[in-house]
Amino acid sequence: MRERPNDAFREEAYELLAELETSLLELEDNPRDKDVIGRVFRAMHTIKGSGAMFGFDEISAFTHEIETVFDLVRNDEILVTKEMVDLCLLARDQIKAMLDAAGGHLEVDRSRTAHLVGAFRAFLPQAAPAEASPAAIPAPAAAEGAATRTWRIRFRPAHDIFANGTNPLALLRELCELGEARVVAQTDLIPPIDDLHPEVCYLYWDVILTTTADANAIRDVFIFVEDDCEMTLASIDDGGCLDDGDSRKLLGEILVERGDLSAADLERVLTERKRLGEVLVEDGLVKPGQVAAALAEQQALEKQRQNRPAADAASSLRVPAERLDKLVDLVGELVTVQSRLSQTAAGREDAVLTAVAEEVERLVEELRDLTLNIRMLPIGTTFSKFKRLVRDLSRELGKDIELETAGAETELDKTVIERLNDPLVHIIRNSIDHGIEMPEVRQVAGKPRQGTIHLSAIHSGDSVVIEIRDDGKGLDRDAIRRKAIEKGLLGEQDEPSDHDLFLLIFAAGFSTAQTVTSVSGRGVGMDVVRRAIDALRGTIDIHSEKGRGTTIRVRIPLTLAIIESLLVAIGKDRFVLPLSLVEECIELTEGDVAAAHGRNLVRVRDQLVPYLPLRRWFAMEGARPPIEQVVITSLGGQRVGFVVDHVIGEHQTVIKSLGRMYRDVQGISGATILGDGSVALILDVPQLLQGAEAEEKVATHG
Amino acid sequence: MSAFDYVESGEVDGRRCGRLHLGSSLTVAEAAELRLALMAALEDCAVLTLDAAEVGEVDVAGLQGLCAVHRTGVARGRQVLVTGLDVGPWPEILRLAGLRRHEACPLSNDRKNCLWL
Repeated sequence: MRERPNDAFREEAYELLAELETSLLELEDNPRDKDVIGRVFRAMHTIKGSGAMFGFDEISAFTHEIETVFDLVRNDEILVTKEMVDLCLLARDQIKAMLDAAGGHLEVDRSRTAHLVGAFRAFLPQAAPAEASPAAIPAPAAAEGAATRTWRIRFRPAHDIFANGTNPLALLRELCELGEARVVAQTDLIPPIDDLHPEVCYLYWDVILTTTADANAIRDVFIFVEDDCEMTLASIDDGGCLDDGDSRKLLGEILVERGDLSAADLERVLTERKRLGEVLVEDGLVKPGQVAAALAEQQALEKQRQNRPAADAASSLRVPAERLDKLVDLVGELVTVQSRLSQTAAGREDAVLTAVAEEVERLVEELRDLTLNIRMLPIGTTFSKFKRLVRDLSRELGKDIELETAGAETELDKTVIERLNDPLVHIIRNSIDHGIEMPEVRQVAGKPRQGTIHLSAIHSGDSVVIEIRDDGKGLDRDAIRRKAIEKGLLGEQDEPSDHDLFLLIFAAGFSTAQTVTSVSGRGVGMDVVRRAIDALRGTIDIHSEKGRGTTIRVRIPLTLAIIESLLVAIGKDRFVLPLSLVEECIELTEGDVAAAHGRNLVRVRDQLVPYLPLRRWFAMEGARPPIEQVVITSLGGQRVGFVVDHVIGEHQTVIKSLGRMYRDVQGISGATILGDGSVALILDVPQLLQGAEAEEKVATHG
Repeated sequence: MSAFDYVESGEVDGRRCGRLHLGSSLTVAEAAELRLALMAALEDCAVLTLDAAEVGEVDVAGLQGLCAVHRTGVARGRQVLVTGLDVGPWPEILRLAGLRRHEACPLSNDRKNCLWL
């Protein structure tokens, strides 16, 4: 297997770093939130621990420094400051750099590490400079492994423990934080109130702790009261001994099962008998509190035993992405073969074959859905990256911007998410740089000083709509118009609608920014965005209101691998259109064509819809049938028809990309293999739509 | 005025009832005073209700005091009750201190005899 433990660690660490970033950004907003502080600490702690385990000593030592600071934060000894969050984010980046370096040939900037370490040490109280010497850094205990074990701890504080200011409850709290704990107080030493010495500690405790922490970590809790208490620690479950689980039976049950004893007799004897605990207490052999502690221990073990299989079942499996891709490919092939089988079966009147074909069809469909589902990931991971982007960029530009997100749980194909990242970054950068104004400008305009970028994802049919909305100054209509005329995209007299004009910013080389900043404004942004979205078979739409803000809506299909489509024929050739775009099909007779006086318009329920005769568009030979079909599609609110010879029906299309030769063919986005082995081309509706529009324009003006 | 206010609250079934307000802090600093207040209150009535609802701070010394007065009450045939253990820091404190029990008070196996059940 290619995946070595080191790779596994790095992969896990990258995930932890992503989480850490999210937590840190959250911490910036809520510096007192114990929950978030805990999450930051745990992320650091895990990176440190497993880093040491896999030999990433540099990472482990460095993370230790930050963990130390957060340990103090966690214990309310120091407060979270903006500066601290900044440093932590930098440290996160540094850890990431170290991970990158471990994977490739990059060098880590050690002076930067040292600088950060110094900065973190500055947070520590002045009393501890000696302790923070480098020799103390390597992670001490965590390397022993993270197996969950159950411990029995007896903690008996000295009678005079209150005298030196120790609060045993604080120690118990610390112990409880290590894992799942059951605490049983032993009260037997407490005297009647008249004999009570108020400043003497009578209570002592038994704790059953189920934790991943090791013995040293547990002992560390008591490190400051070592001389003032009696503490015993014993493992009552070494992990392995629970494996026998259900096979553990009681004597009575076994006797009943073997037929040596009747169930009724057993029941009778058991009810007559007192419980063991009671007998022992009566005989004065043990105290009731000790029985209570033992029962708690029994319960803890029982619970853990029950939890184990469940935990295993709920665990996930890490699979390399390539393997999943291969699986999707194979399922794609299977879908093709299955449609061939269905076609063959339909051609023969063989009841058995038809039944088998139907069964296969059902299974393949299920398999397809399941496989595509495996590749689905929540888009939230991408969102959290943007939080950081917005934070860093707005600071750089001296703006105050908040990123709101919604629908982070919306799932999309992994590949789609990856390829969506760059275009979304471009759009958000644009919003930050051009959209949102400086705080003072906003204030003058009567808006809150803090600008907001709202990022949301929502499912809509077989696609996901991602919306990026800012409350900035909106697009400058006049500037865009001037620029468009200058670029020859618009005639001097043209007065397009706002919507059409705004769409021009997605044209190549279009930028209205007065100055080029490092953030955006080089005029490469938006057309790159459009091309990337096109490549994902998505669409992009823009709305803007001067002074109020801009909204960009990106619609992306859920998956790139397989789509539901409509299969049509022109002559002997087959084409498919994405079914999601198709509204309806109507007939086009020779009479209709004649009635339109040479214009490519068809009347659909009192509305004129332009159409594009595909036979002519693709310059295909052969005569038109007397009655053609118009497939009416709708895209971004626009309806356009495509004329074909006939409509064959719905089809499961496994998308295959065209070779390099055909990459620039207009109007075709890919190909698919049909059941009979022939190839059908996938029509690129958005591109064809533009073509149809251009033709219509020529027809109107000419 | 003492932090621990005691008031008589009439009679139920011919038994004298009293109510001791436990104030806001039950730590080792108040432990000596608490002990005296508890002793006096227990002396005065047959059914003593301790009102813990306003306690914001409590440590082991405070818990021990309550436990001690209760077991003294059991020994003398008097009833000691606590109210307000479900608010403020109490649920967390009782969990940490291991007093949120499912089993009876260690001095007996009778649920009735445990202050914390």
